[in-house]
Amino acid sequence: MVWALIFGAAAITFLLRFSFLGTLKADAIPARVRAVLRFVPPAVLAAIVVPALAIRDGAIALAASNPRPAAALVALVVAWLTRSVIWTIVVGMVALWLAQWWVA
Amino acid sequence: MSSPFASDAPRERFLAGTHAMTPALIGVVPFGVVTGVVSIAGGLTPLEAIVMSIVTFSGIVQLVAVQLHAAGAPLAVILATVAILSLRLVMYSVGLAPWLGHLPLRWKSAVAYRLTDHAYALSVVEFTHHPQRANRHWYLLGTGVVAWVVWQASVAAGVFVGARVPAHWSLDFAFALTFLALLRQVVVDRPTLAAALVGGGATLLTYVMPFQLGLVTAGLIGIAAGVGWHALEGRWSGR
Repeated sequence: MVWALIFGAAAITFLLRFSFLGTLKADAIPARVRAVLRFVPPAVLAAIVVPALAIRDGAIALAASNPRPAAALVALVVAWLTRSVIWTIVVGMVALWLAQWWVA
Repeated sequence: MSSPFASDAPRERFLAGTHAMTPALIGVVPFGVVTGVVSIAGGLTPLEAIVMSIVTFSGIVQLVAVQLHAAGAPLAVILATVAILSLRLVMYSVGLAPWLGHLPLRWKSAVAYRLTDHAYALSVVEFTHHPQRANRHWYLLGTGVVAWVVWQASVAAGVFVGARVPAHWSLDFAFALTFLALLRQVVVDRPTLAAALVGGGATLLTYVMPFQLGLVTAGLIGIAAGVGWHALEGRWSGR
């Protein structure tokens, strides 16, 4: 099962990377398809982030006892202002540790 | 950024690619370490985690697939989610095809395997600014190879050190933060903001769906929101 998952995921990822580069001509892609693909990264990344922050053990956890949403909000501000991966991680982790220490 | 590698020789183009990629590696290292840690925490053996990293070479795919696996999602749902996550790579493939379409198959395979968000962004800028240059594929290969080496080393570090990191350090939170930072870079206008807000918000409803189908569904809803907002803006401005 795990190996099927690993090689299945690898095959899909490679084929999508290879798709137009390897076989089709780029000018054969309708503008309409490009217009849709543009929205894949923001929609998908947000759909990964939000549950990681706001859902715990299968339920929405936005109470004060879950310090993650608040720490993420601080990190979000840093991400928006700096556009830096490293600063977002550093500030977000410090905010979470401070909040955990505060709640505990 | 100006590059000291000005000649069209393959070696110089390759080094120019590695040179351009270097600043981005600061973000690649923590992302890779977290991916290694989460892979082990999600129940993969070190061998499985490292093979997966080598054959997929995609942090987002590795992280999400492992988490869905740990949550007990069926294989078909995990693979469908992987396909949605990797759809953005099609966009990059489209963008590079006009520049590299003439290459032999083994070259196309080699650069496709190493195609990442960063490599795409750097290469398209380079190709557009210097359209007359030869050996473009060596530049792309340079960005890909340096990222590949650093990525695999970071994941391996996470795999072997991760088990010794105490749980209350909450290193998995760094995973969410990485995506937050990436999200910032892809929200460039109001339609992309709408896609992010709706896609993220939808997960608060779709998380109750069976078989971990929530992520795929919310992603599709967010994409639809972006397309819809874009169409509305076009209508308002009279186009």
